[in-house]
Amino acid sequence: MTVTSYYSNLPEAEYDPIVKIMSQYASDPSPSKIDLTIGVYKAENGDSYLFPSVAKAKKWLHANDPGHNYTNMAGIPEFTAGAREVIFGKKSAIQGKIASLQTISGTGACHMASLFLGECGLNNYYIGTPFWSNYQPMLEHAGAKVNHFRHYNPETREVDFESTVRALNEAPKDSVFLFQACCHNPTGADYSKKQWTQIADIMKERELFPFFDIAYQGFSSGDKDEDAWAIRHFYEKGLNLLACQSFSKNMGLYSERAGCLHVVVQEGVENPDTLDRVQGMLVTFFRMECSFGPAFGARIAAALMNKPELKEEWDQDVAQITERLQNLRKSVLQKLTAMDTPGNWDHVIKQNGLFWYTGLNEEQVSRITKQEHVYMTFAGRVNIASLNESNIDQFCRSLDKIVRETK
Amino acid sequence: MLSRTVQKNLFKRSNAVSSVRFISAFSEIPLAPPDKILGIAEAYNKDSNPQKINLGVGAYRDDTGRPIIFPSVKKAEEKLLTAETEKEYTGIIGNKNFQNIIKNFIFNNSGKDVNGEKLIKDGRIVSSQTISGTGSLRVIADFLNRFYNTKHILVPKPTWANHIAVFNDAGITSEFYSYYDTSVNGLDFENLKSSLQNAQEGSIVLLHACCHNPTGMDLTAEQWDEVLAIVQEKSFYPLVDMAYQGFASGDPYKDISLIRRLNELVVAGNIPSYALCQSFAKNMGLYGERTGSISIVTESQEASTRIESQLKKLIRPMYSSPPIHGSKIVEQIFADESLFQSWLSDLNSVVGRLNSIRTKFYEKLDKTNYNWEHLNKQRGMFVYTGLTKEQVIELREKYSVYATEDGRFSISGINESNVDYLADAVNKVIAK
Ligand SMILES: Cc1ncc(COP(=O)(O)O)c(C=O)c1O
Ligand SMILES: Cc1ncc(COP(=O)(O)O)c(C=O)c1O
Repeated sequence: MTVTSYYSNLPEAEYDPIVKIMSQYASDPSPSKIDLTIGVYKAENGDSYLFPSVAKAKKWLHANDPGHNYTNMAGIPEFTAGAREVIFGKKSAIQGKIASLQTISGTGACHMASLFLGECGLNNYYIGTPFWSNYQPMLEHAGAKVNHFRHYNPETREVDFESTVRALNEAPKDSVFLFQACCHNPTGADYSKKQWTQIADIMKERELFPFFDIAYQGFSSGDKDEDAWAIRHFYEKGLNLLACQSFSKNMGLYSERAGCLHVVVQEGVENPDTLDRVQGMLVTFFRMECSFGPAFGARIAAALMNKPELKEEWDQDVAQITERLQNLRKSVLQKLTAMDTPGNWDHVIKQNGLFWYTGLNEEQVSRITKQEHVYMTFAGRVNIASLNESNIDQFCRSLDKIVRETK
Repeated sequence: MLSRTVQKNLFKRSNAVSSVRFISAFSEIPLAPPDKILGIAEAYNKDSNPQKINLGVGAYRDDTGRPIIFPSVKKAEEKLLTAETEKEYTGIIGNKNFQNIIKNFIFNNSGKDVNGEKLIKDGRIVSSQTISGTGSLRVIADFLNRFYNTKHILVPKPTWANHIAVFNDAGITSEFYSYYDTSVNGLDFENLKSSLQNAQEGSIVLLHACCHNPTGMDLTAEQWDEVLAIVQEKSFYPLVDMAYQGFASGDPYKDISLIRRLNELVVAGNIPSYALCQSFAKNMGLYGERTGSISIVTESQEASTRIESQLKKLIRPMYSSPPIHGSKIVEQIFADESLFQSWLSDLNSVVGRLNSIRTKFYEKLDKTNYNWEHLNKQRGMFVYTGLTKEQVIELREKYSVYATEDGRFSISGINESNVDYLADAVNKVIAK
């Protein structure tokens, strides 16, 4: 067999469904089409958004050009230290219990995390449905077994805590639970503090391993510390855990791929040797895939985290974005209420972050796209940030119309 | 220290210790072997001898020992600073413009390679932006592991330290073919050929495009012809690693003769497919920005479509999409003819310094009892001295000269102000 015959049998891989919707949108000639699919924040005028704090950091970096040399294998130290503090808080960040690795953003962090856990013998995963579409292929790529429970209950339009607890109680020891720490993608439905506390208790008791993905820190409450509550709680509880951090969304650094993997090693203080081993393992794995993380995004992020005036501005940027998202949610609810749209729409303000999981069914989604030129994911996920003065009325009217039609 | 088996297990994820208890899981992790180059840097930093020399760096340094920013790169960044207004995601395999730059610059040799031009026109090249050279090697290895029928690769002995680890990590096992004969400090061409001839048919074969790392010793045009004849005869799958394009001749166009030969063989139907891993780390000085690419030359446009879709499927769960700061610099440079010309001249002057200091070093070496001729044949960032491990250790301990124990000197660390001291130290060590 030669490579010729082999490649000839190679099937064409399926595209991410979101890519299909985006290309349908692109070829729709309607002037009033609205695109609510994509997962990035948009400015009020619908344009791409550059954080003002990032714009400043770029100028500062250019004026204080560090060049493009190879960096450290574990990442740029100011970046990983700052990133750690953003998630764990000042005090815990320097307690000597956390190994950190700069990664290719949040995706790369999750990928390295699953490889790392595989090496530790942890291969049995649980994820709540529905989930970010990349989890399943990512975990399978690492050779893990993936089990599902229900994160979201479509009837109550809230988290399905019962299903979560059942899974936690049934999972064999050493199973890994992949949780999103805040602003759940795609549902926007997060566990309450009380629920997180219960989850932590069960996990500790049953020796389960928490794997946190935190890609939207700050977009739930507007306060990054508050949004890291769950992770900090697990940390305080004495659980070993890991956290996969992305600055794609909360700094708008998407394409610069700034992210970090943190592994909490509770015994790190008594046994610094164990922490060193974990750190060494992370670096070794990363060296075989990338050698180094990309410098530019990490330097911008480090500036936002470590330079006091930029940090303050970044905090404000995040708070403002969150406020705008929350106002848009309120506005949608008001408009639907004013039109007396059939059904209960409270979940639009209960859910957090960039996404609203509308609850529209497949037929409704297909109709709103075909008839009204409103594009969202097949599961009815809407990017709130893509709504603005110029399209929110049309969006709400379209929604109202489709809901009435399909009642 | 680690036992060999533990170290081996470290690289074999599938054999992970499955019975480790959760609470103690972390403490059972073996300590990773320290990185050799970093170890050298650390020891160097601690040394208080003012005349100490670090020959371990894998990046360019100017005559004052400092890293440089290519002036053309700095200009491109100035343009970017005003031109770039957002940072939204690029595609999983990067954007079309970057891919086209790679195709046109490398495969078409900017209009000078008719075969490459035909391959591009026929839609037979799939290119993807990657996490620099390392990332491109990792992705292609994983890709071949999934879709190619043999799972092992022939690599030159010696080769870049990370090659074997990267391939192994992706499930591809490495096997050496002869390359260099340390007893004569030269290419071991007869054994090179015979070891390839005796290797398993259909193997993947790793070829360094130019400036072989670590030896700096490349094949001549005639030697490439002979090797490529074996590649065809044995139906090997060529995987080309090109991390130092431009460093052999000072001109990136001249350093890609291997690509031109392969293109010709593909167009003639003698080789169905091959892959290229490429990096801008060295030739644009973009090291830390992680800018590189992978290209697969396919059998047909239709195959390209399928291969591209599978590449995306492979990369998406690994890191979603590549970082753009470095690739935007590349795009800026290629978009502007005068900027492009200044990049070529920046690169040329970097290589010029390396070559002139190499010559200077050669001149100062004592040749009465030692043949240093190989230095003049080697190309790129390194001098592969042929010094023994003991001699390297003596250099370090007696003269504060830090190099890897295989006797590889990074020329970057040598400059006008230390070349005499260095040559003197080497002369003393070999005189013993
Ligand atoms: C839930 C979740 N996790 C992780 C990521 C990773 O994004 P990135 O790789 O850009 O950091 C995303 C991005 O969409 C996400 O939605
Ligand atoms: C032969 C060879 N290939 C690939 C690389 C990869 O470098 P990078 O990942 O920085 O592009 C190097 C770097 O030293 C190298 O020497």
